[in-house]
Amino acid sequence: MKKITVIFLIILLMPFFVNAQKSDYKNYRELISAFKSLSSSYTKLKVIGKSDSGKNIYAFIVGKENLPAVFIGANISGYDLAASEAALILSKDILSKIKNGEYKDKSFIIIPVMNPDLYDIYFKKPLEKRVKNFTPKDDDGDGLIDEDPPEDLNHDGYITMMRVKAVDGNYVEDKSFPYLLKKANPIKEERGVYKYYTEGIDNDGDGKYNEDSKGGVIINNNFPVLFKYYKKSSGLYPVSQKTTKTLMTFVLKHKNIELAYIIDRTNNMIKLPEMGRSSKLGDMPVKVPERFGKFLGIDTKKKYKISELVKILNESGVGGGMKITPQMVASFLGVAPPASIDPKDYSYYKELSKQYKDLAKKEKISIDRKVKGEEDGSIVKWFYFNLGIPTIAVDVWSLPKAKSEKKQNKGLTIEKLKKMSKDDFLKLKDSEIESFMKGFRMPPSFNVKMIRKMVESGRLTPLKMASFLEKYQKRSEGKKSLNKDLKSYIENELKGKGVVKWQRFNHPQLGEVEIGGIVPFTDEIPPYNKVEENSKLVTNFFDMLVKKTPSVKLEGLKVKRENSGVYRVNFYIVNEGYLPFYLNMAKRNKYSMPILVKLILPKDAILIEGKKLVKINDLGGIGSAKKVSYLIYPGKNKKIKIKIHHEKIVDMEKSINLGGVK
Amino acid sequence: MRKKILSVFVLALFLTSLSYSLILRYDRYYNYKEVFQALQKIKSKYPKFVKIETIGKSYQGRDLWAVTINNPDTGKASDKPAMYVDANIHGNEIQGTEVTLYIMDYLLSNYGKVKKITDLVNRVAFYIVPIVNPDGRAFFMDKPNTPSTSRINKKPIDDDRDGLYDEDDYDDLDGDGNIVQMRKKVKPGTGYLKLDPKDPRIMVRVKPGEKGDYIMLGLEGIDNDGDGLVNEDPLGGYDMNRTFGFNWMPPFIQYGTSDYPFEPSETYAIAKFLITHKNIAATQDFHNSGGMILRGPGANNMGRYPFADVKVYDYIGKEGEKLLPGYDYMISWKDLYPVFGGFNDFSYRTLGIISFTNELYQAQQDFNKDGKVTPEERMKWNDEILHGAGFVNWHHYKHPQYGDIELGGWKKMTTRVTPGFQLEELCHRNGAFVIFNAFHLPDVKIKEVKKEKIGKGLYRIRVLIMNDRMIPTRTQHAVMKNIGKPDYVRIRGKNLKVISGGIEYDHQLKKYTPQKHHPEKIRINSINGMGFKYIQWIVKGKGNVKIIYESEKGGKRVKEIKI
Ligand SMILES: [Zn+2]
Repeated sequence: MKKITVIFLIILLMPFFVNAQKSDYKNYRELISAFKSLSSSYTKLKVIGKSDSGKNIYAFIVGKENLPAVFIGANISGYDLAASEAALILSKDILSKIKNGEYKDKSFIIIPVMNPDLYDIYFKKPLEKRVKNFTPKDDDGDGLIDEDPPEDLNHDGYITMMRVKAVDGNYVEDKSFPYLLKKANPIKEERGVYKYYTEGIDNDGDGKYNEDSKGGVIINNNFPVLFKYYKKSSGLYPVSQKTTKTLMTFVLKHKNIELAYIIDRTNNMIKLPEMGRSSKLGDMPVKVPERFGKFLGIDTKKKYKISELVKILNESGVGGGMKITPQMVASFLGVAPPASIDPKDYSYYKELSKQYKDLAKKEKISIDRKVKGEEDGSIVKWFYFNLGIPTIAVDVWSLPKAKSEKKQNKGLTIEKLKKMSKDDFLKLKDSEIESFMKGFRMPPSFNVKMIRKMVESGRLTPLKMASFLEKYQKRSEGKKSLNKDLKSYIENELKGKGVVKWQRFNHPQLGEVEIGGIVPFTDEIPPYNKVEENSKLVTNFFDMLVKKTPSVKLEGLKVKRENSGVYRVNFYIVNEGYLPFYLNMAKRNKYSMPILVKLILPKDAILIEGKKLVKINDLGGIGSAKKVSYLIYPGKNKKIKIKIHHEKIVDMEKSINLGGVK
Repeated sequence: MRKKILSVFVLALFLTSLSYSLILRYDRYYNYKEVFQALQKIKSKYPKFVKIETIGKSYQGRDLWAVTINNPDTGKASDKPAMYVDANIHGNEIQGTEVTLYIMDYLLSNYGKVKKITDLVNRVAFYIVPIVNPDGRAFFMDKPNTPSTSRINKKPIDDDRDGLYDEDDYDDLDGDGNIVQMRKKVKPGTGYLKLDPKDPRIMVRVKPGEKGDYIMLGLEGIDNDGDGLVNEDPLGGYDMNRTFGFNWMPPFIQYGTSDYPFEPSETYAIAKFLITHKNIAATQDFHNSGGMILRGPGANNMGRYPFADVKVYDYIGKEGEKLLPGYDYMISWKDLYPVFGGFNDFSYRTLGIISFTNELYQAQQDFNKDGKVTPEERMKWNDEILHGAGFVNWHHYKHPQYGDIELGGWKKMTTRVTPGFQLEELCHRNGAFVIFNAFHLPDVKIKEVKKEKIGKGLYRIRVLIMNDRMIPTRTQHAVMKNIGKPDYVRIRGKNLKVISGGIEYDHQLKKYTPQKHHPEKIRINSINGMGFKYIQWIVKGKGNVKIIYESEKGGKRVKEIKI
């Protein structure tokens, strides 16, 4: 009897116990049950649809569904377990803030795993780094589907790499980090030694190894904005995947979403969206639609090249001082989509980015790491470029940049160069300049003599030179640094874990090979303790953002009785929030339903001026206001009502008794 | 006398031999239900050749039918090169459906009577979707409309962004079954139009120095929702020929499209059908109007078509101009206007299929043959050819918002829709274009297999494979973009060892490029229109040897020889 009670007690305590003890990633089922355990009267965990592999996709909904909503979508990559864990931590934080009386006028839609098909692969043996889902597909175009997947030949639980010595090998060992090979560079007198393959056998006997592994499509490339046609891993066409369609239809139905917070591998706060990128226009001759042509005096039967139209329009002065660009004409005529963030929207992103970086500094979380910018065909691009919703993408962790062994350079540095005048520079010794330039590995034609000449003539200023060198350095670093970063991370932070030493193996087709390399996902999934540490930034920045969402209010109501018994009613619809009520992209895309201001009058009242339905198309950032005005001849009953509605605001109603006004 | 009788007799004989009895009439239009009955009628007459399936549902729940025409005695449909035809994706562009009915009717009623048709039906399969937008057709034919309304599907859209959907459609105010125009006489000088002094049915714009006394008030309708506007939120929907998943652009770029590609169940069903029927090597869809044979690109931001495919397009398109007098072979983006997310682009660019779109019908109203059709000439057409049945004469109506106005204008079955007396010819000529196209579906034959002893038990086997028609087994585009399965030629024998093999690059000198792996299965990618390939193998062994050609669109061919 006693024994049973004890067991019973243990069982009762177990979930708590497990949760408290758990210091590693949860699998999909465990993660969802962690969300279940957060449920309360004002939350809902619901299945929004299925993924391509038939898994449920869940949304955790906090707050009333008629309130403006912030969308939190985590882990569109599928394997980004850290993002999903961060979404859980963030959800807990939201709930505790609500308990403390915050976030009163908001609701939250949290999808902790947007792409569940790749979630559990982390727990499966052998572990293989896959980023594509399991939709069957012919990767190599030989007409066979998924015929050559990799195999864990040495049974160590990982799919790593194979290297085999070959006369025509074109890889060599990276001497500083032997777990990786690099392409031999004959110019540097490197002779190729190895052939380099993923671990496995050539299942279909076509001479290639593991060229057609299972699946699939990268869900985060399957969204319709800047979709890459003909790229197999993007899918046959945009939104070809069930997972993508489930997510999109869900988002499109929720017209109350005012902000999207995407937690995944992308970070657009460290790496801001690109400016000045244009979509492919071609030399498309276009006809101008009659409704514009007539107005602009352009022959609507003739075809013009876009560049010709730009010239005509700029000369005609219709821009009103604004310079008209080919992109503007193309998108105006509907021949090309925007590919570059709107400049005004960008300034908001830039300001938020600054605050993100400041917060990171405060939280002591490094932002000096390799981050991914927004990908074409991604959910981040779709949210912003298509729906025009402010979309902030953050990651939890990424590979830290290797600390460059800074030689204490007593001589010249880029920083010093920036501050130099022409004369300062010319006073430098040749040897100083030479040793400085050596560090950049510039082409030999770029020598001291030439630089001196250029600076002397004024064609090159020290500042220009510094910024050029900076860019040059970044570009060449980008290419080489992955191995360096990985090496430093494995050696310094993982203390040597995360690698598999090269071991001999007798391969049925290749003969003697060596198998080894990097443990899959080492550069994508951090140790669990990092998640808890870095989630602070994810959570606290989110809190900042929520407080910056638009907040639309009715203010400055004034009622005045005028001559002859008519009443003037004036008020303002004002945005008291930081972010504008609609980014420029939303306005441009017409994904910007107006705020509806409805006036409800007694039947016998007469509306002399003003409209029964006023549409407020948009409001700018903080303090932006639009005036609404009515002139009313009231009926017997002098009560009127104003109703203000929009999915993205808290609906308002105001009753006014004109009778009480003097 | 006798001679005359004889010649009449001969003529009669000639006529009987030419006459085929079609089951349906083609001087009239079929509404949605009647199309279904017509299909059933064709099926019950030729049950062996006809399969009707439902491939999806419309927004309002109507069935989308696909008909397969195939002779099972000569093989399964899926093993043959196939021609896909659809119509009426724009609900108001109805006559394409009659063309598809005609094609089925004509092919089957001539089968066994006319050799060219018999051979064709034996060799290829036809997949036909007579109505892609059933809701649009049903609404267009059964309810009052203009020639241009009911183009889109029936998904409600909030056109005026007031939170309400489809709340202010056009109205047939006088209940005559037509939606026409509203015009109003106003004080001289306050209008911008006047009546044509020669024909008061025609409105003309006032010239400088003149005073107008008429204004137009748009299509027939009232302010249904009391918001002070008339017809500001009419029915539906998406322009479904902008919702296909290639070069798709969102609604703010491509007017009328859906929120994402293939959002409408109708176009999703079509896409699924095309993707799963990998034997389709040519597609044709029918619209109205203007008399055009269109090919892509729909827009030029995705590059041009490769040269080898343009050759095929040009050949079929230019031949089409001859079969369809007055029709022009054109490139959509260049000669018409840019279309993003059109059927045609998806079919060719995503699936690698040769694809044409015909804009059916151009009325022959240029009575004085000056190359222009004036409003007066259009009226003459109404008065002398249609005897007044095409135009609703202006008549008074008391409008709740506009007061005293006049209603009048062209009826829905005019301007874009072919009149009954011309419909059969239109069906036949466009049917002939489809048949021409189908005739040029790849026809691959293993023309010869030669063996030659080269000593030490080794043989050289040389095979000639040829495509006798203009459409390639895989388009150049499909080969370049890795779309679909490559064509393969295999050699197989019980006691056969394949030592080497490959495609010949110099037949006269017997030179070939050895394929490194699996030499028994040579990847030839494709056979061009009117093209050929020589394959060479070096083998060892004896007995029966099979040469097998396999292609998604070219079918399967086997030839046996003995060593
Ligand atoms: Zn059309």
